[in-house]
Amino acid sequence: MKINEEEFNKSAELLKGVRLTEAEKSAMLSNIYQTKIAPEPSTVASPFVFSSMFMRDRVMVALASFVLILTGGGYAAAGSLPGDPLYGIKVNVLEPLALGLTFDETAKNEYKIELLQRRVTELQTLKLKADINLASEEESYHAAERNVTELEASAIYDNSGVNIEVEASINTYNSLISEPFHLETKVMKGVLTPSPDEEEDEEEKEDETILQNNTGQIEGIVAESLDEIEEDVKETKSTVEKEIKEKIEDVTNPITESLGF
Amino acid sequence: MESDRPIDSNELKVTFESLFAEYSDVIYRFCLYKTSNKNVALDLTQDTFLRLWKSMNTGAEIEKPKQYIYQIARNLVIDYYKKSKAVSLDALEEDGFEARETSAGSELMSELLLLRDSIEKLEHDYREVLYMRFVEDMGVEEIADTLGVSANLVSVRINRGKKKLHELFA
Repeated sequence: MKINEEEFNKSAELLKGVRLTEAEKSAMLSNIYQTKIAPEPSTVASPFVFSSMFMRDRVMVALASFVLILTGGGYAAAGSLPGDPLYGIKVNVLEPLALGLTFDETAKNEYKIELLQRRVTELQTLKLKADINLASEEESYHAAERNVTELEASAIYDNSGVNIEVEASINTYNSLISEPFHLETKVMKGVLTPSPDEEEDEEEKEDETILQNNTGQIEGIVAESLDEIEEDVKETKSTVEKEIKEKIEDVTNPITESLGF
Repeated sequence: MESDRPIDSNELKVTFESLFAEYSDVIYRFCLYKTSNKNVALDLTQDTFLRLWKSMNTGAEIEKPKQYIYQIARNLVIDYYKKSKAVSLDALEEDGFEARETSAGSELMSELLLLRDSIEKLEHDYREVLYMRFVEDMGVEEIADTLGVSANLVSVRINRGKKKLHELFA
């Protein structure tokens, strides 16, 4: 459908006036505060830590319980930290299982982000306990690296190849761990090229080049015009001088003749 | 990025609520513009702030909240469209889903569709810049800051986008 400028402006004005009602805002805040934020891993095994991972579905909870029985140490594993003997079960068995049992694509992506955030809170807990060492850092890094790889395999990035939530978690993670264990996304590694920013830089450079070329052209045109004007002025000047001289002669010649010079 | 001092939950709540007060309408308009569905826009707005709340609780220090919040909303809109592709309209109607019932006021929706229809005809680069300029009345620097690009580039895009819009109007 074709739109004119007036209609366009009217539509924009109408949208500008759209706001949430106070009731909608209150409901949102209430829902947000009621949503359980993943708790920090605790060294004291809590059944809630494990069950909260699987609360998405009753079937998942049932299957999780089955795994708990099988592994025996599932309770403790769920609350374990890098460096703990059961941490491997947590990151290599329980978490992949929970991910595999999540079928909704959005929930899956959210869970992957949650796992990365969990790696951050694990490191924070270790730091608070002053219990961080090379081995625990390495174990955390391998788990987090796998989380990042899984995140990159999912389609949660915008058109510019960025997910600011993932980036923020990675930055926080990197601020907590020694440099050799810093996480990097493909964008950070420069595997994904050209990045949108580079494209934008190129576009900016192109604009500047166009501007410079245009400036050069304009300067050239002005210079040519000035030359032409100068020549015109010279020509006009000589024509006028010539005409004046002729007029003077027209006037002075008869007088000279009449006086007999 | 991450603060060493323990998280003060009251302080966190105050910061979060001030961000919510400042940007919830902006994000709601953006989601409504992108989806043309009031209920979906409400859900996406809530999800955006839920993610922000979660991030703040992990101790992440958010340097540019507006850019951060917009980016979450943008990702959620993309997610929504990717997910909704899997569900055909026919299947929804068979389930008794009436698309119009969930839409906001019909006048607003038809105007919104007109607006979106014209902006979305332009190349990707111009769409968000023009939306922010015309609907949110944002200045060049503010748009640049929100999108994380240079002010020069925003300026170029606004001018070119305006020209292209005028070509559409003609």
